[in-house]
Amino acid sequence: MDWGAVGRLSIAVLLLGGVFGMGVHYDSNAGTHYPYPDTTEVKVSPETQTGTEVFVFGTIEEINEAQNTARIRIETDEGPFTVEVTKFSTQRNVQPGGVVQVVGTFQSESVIEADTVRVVNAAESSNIYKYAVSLVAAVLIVVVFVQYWRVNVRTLSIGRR
Amino acid sequence: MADLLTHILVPYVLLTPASWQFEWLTKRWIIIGMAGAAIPDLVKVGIVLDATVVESVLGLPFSYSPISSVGGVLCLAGAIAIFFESQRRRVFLLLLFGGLTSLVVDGLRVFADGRSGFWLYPFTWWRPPTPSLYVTSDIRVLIVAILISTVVFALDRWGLYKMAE
Repeated sequence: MDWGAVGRLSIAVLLLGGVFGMGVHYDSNAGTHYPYPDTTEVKVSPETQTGTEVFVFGTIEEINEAQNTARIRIETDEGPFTVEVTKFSTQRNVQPGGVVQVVGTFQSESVIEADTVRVVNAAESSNIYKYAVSLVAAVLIVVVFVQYWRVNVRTLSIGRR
Repeated sequence: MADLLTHILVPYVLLTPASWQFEWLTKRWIIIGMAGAAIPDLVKVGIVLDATVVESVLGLPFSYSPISSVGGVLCLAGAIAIFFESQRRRVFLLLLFGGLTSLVVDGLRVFADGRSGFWLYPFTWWRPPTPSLYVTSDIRVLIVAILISTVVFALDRWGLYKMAE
């Protein structure tokens, strides 16, 4: 048995355990440090959020230019829900399928009056662009890395070429 | 977050000029820094395995967000560096450098309330202010990164930086 490999793997597993532990701690505590209600809370008990300032990310389903509103779909741990955003400012170059950030006041179960709207993805195709460019980068980094470094799967080690 | 290509080009642009001063900082090491810049992007594992699935299997609250924070980068840089046969401290520091550059670049992007995420976690829950310079899908960010990288590559490849000395 290669004790060096076992030792390296053990330390790596411990460190990954640290990341997992942070994942649990983060999810348990982030809500108390975040100035806005969690979107799951907004979905589950909207009546308690009326008049509250919210910060949500949502995918545009429909834009009504005449009324200056948009309907957005918000993802939560309890599944998605839709709200209407008023004072949306439809001159923003965003289409259905795009993603926006909205800071505003939760008015009722299905309405947010926007204070600020920022476009994250102008259209659904923006995600395809991001994933395609990221894939190119991942391939590039692997190709260049293996030119200088040798990965030995048997001994679980990385050494100079 | 910015796209992965922009992330890995940032440490390239920073470390290559540094290599003109430090003889040990060869391309072999610069690529480690570039690889480190990809660490925060591992948060995208959530696309493949949703955090809610992890929560339901383990019965614990769970978020992948710490992967894209200082704490996550520290742990993951250590977990990768340990597999190197030698000079693990140098590998770790370069991975950490790359990871931190990604977090800083991401900390400059648009947030509707002017504050970035909890990327300094677990050291503080403070959300640093962001100048809201770009949105993640803004191709101009990548174009600027590629242009600067090309200039740095040319200066390095043909030794043009020596002319300024």
